[in-house]
Amino acid sequence: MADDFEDDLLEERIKTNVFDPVLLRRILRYALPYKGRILAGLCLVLVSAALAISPPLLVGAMVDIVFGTGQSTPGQAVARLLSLFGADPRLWADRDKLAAFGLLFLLVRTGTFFVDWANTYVLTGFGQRVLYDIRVELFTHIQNLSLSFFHRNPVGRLVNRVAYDVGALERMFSVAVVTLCKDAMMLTGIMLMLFAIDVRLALIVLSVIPFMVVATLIFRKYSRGAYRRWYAAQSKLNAFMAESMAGVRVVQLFHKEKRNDASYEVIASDFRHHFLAQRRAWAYFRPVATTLSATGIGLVLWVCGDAVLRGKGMEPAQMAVIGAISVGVLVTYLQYAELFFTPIRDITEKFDIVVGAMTSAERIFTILDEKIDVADLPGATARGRVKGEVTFEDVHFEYKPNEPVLRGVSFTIKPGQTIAIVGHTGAGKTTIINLVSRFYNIQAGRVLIDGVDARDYTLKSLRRNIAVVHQDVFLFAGTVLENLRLGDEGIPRERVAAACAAVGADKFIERLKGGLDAMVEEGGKTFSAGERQLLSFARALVFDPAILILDEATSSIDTHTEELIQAALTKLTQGRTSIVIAHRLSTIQRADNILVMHKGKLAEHGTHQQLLALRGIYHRLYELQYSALADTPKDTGPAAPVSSPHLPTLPDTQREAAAGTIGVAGRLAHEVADEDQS
Amino acid sequence: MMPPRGLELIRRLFHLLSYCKPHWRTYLMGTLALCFVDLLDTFTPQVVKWAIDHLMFATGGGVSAGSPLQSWLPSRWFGADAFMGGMWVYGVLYVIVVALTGVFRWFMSMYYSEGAVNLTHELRGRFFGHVQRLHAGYHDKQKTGDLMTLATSDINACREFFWVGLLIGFDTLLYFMIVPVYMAQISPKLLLASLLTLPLIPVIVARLAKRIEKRYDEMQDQLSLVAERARESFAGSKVIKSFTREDDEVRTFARLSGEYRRRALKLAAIEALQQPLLVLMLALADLVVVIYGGYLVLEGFAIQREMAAAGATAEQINTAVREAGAITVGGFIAFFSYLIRLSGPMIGLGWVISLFQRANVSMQRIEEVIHTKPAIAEPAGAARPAAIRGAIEVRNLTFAFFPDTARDGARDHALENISLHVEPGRTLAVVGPVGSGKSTLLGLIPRLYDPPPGTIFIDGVDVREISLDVLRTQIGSVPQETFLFSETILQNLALGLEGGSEYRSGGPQAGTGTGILNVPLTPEGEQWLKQCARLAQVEADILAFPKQYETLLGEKGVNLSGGQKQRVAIARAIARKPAILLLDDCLSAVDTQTEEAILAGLKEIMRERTTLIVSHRVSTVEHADEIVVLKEGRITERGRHEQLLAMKGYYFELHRKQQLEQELASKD
Repeated sequence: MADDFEDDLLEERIKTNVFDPVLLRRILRYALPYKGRILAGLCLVLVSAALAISPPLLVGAMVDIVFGTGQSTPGQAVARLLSLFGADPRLWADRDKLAAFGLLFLLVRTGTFFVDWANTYVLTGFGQRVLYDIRVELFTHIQNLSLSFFHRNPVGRLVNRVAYDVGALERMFSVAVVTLCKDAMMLTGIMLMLFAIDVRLALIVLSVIPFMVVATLIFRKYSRGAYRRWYAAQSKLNAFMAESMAGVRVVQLFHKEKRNDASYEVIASDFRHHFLAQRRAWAYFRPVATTLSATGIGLVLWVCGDAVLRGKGMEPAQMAVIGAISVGVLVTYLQYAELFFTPIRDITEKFDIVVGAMTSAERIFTILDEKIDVADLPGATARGRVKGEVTFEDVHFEYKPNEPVLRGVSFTIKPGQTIAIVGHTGAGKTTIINLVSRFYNIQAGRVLIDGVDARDYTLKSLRRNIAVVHQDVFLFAGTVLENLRLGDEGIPRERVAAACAAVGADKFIERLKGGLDAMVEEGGKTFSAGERQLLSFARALVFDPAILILDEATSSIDTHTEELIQAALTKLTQGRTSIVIAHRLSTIQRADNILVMHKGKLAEHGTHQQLLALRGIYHRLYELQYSALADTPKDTGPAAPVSSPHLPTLPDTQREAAAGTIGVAGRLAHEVADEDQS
Repeated sequence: MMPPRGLELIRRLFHLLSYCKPHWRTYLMGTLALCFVDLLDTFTPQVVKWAIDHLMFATGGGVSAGSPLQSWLPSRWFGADAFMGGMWVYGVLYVIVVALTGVFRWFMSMYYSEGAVNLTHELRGRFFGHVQRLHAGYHDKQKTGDLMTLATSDINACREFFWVGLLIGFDTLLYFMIVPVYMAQISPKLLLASLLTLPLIPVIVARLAKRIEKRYDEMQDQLSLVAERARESFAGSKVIKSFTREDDEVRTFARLSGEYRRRALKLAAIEALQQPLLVLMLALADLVVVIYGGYLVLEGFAIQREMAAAGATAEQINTAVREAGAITVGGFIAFFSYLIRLSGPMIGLGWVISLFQRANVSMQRIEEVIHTKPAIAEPAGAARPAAIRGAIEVRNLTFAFFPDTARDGARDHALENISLHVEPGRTLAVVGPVGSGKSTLLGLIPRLYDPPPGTIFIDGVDVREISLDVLRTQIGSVPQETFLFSETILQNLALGLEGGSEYRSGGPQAGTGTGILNVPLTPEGEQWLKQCARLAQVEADILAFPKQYETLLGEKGVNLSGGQKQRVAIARAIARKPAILLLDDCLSAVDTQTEEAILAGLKEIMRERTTLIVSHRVSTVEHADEIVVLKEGRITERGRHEQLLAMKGYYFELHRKQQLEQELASKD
């Protein structure tokens, strides 16, 4: 996560419209399958809100009934409830009244406890399910995107999307939505109660609401701007620090430390300024909101208080006529006024969570909107095992517009043949093998397998016929066995063991603790280059492909392993079409045919002897590599003995190319963009 | 690791608090405001109590001596004619108290956030300044992302503590001091009874917190697994696609995500309990107030009835009621309010503790970096030669990045037994395979890495004894990996003028780009930089941009090609007019013709300066005064171009291959 942290920081994107309705609707669509759960949750929220607004009623009723301060709507309602247990509770002894109210309180409180618990649990469960769906959908989508997508997006960024951005959505579902629902219901419930008790008083008390709404709107307008400026200042500060740290050597070499200190002062002060401005918006809003809600309470004290005074010594019937109330009603009103304004504050405070979630949602949907460009075409059929004839018909291909990598390549490989591809870095070798598996769509020409266009196969049925052994062997975290059958439990262990034996990987696997069940540590770094190579051979053999594609490793290997690998190669290529990007002379000499690639074209082809006799490009390449007197400059490992001469091609990774392979090769690597990214 | 306990925690708390010292005025003002806020806030239930007692007295509905306001304020305010019954007094008083609270709350909030933000501003600045000065060896091992996490997440954790944490901490303390006083004033007995359940709250919070933490960790562990799996799948997407294992990957990922969901729900089951349980605990206190408080009110009623029948005055009744420990209806209602006011801090306490713990861990991490000594620092009594001629001498240099693990003979030494001598104005070229130690050698001269004492000398002075200022100003470096800043091209070039130059006019000024501050230039300075760009053959490229030299580079600007970047870096280095020029394979991404042009341009400059040039190309190095071949950290061949060719060694082979390649490249 940490390596790509800057990446997200530098992505200075601020949601301009937090409550984008399209985005909201899209998020909510994921909630639809859980209608039942949502309904249950809403019912619980309803009960919970009802329970939350009942204590003020109870206290008011208690004051009226137990302390005999008069008759009132809440008092009568509770009295009726209590009379279910026997005679009119107003005639009970004082102690019984107290006990009854104690019991009611206990009931409400324990009820609240269980309902709130269940409520949070149900809604979290709902949120988690939605998240699970989004997460798996996102993962599946990314998995199906073509390799060019992976070139554009660093792995770390994708992981952040799947793991952490989805998490930000979770908080929105579990915290924000729940609180918002409950708050809304509570507000409605309190208003209903106030009006049910006394319409006139209710209107007076609630007269502060319009002011509250206006204050909130002003605050939101102001705070949103302040928030955005703060966010922008923060991005700027982070970008500045990230860049200075990444370029710390240049900073030191050019003595930029002091200027950076000064820059920090300016940028961070700006950040501090906007942070405080954003806080100031809050600092203003909070007192205004509390004062407004206090005005509501003050109005209760005044208006309700006077209404109580008016009813002094009157009978209930008379009181109703002149609009007088009991002390109990006043208490109820007071407590409601206090309750009423807490949810309003709550709602504003949930703002941050929603903003974060919306930004994450947008990032997630950007990926989900990415079109899967290499997909099954309509009419593509699933085909079984192929014979293994591979034909390129005038294939043109470019990774980036106007930077052609293959410029009209044609050749045919007969079933069972082994062919070697040689050529400089950037000549198009890797591209050819990528196109056989249809990792990319070609711009012109056709790639045919058994005479049928590769696009007429379903991707699965096409690739199931092909096994690719990459130069840099990728090993997953897991056991050796899992790595060899790649999660396909249908492949029996015996077959894996047999494959290992066939390629000669069994010896070192046996030495591992646990054999096939040994864990692969640190991405396989504990294995030597040769061992990793043998493992990847075994992996290919396990899947028994009709077509084998092999990108030979350039790394030097000791003589013993070299022999093992050559023996394994013979086994591996037997009875199947094999296409090898060859670096080893022995491999090339054994090939039925050699394709010499040069600048995106097939320059020469034939057997080793024929090509040498031609004295063309192949001859030069051969001389360049094979007749080495001293160490080759591309030699990366200082201690590596070179056991077998390496044929053409300079190191294939871009890093090394940039680090400076010899002249032309280095230059070509830059001219022919991206060839090596794969 | 066991979390620190007891005394150690308190020590850490005081340590954190010591960071507040420079900002004590701000915090003091904030805390003063906080005192007023709490005093006023706890006064509001009192107003309600008075109002209800007033009503009860006026309506004769129960025991009450009325409210003290009735005796303090003119009685005509409460007359039936003035504003009806006179209850407006309480309403207005209530609003005034809350409004005043609001005013103080504003000050409190602003002072505290200011204190915290200033504190973290300085902390971050210290951290950032320090990190910039830490030696290259430190940065080799440290990921930028990790340092950035410290500068953002960890700094934020500290800010939370110094802001919300301290605020709530003091708030809680004050409430626990003030509120019980009011409650005791109403009824000490009721206070004792109602507070019986409250001590349970911190116990329950702590107990739950521990279990929640455990389940939270379990959930986070699973999230790491999910993230890790995603990383593996994405990184290995080529293999997965090749073997059509996508469905399996999705299945595995879904299984892991499912387990995450299960653990999240397991956490929710217990976390969902926390809030309701707290409320329930408070409700138990409520229950005590309802039953016992109600009983005390009724008791007061009984006394009143008895004494009123005996013809006692209101004053006498009131005294009797209080002496009997009974309470008024107003007191009863106010008691509820006070209970609620205590509950907030109770819950807040748990929060403060977790904020503190997080800040504690974060601060330790930050301090660890701040306390790391830069291994390469200004030498004591440094030599500050006014001018450097540029004679470089390397004497028996043996260098290892990790001297502790290096053994003689083993290949842990990056360089072994290197001796070189370059006269001022001469050019030395270094060739050799990747990893042979060429870049290391170039990094030792400006002390990016520290050479052993007595091995590298400039003008006869050990580089370790020359002031870093002078040393680095006199050396122009073009590192192998070109790093340009997201500023304008001109400002990137002006980096060469950093650290004092006749072309600068005054201190830094506001500008664009990530660096914000620009180096102001004199007109001659600008001319000079442009001339350097011309020499480095990059001017034509720059002029092709619409904004030319003012073109912003990087994320939000233009992305230069590898070759353009290298040429800008060369211009930047020669802009310093250094005595020594270090070129580390800086022409690799430039085509042959441009290379020749650059070399021709540099020739003029190189004649005046000592140049060390690393390259893979024979064409770049063939005219050097001396060429050395480095292999495995040792010099294997040395001499001029012709001499080396005659040796028929590595250099000869390199030369032959490059000729062949050139032939190949020209073929079509």
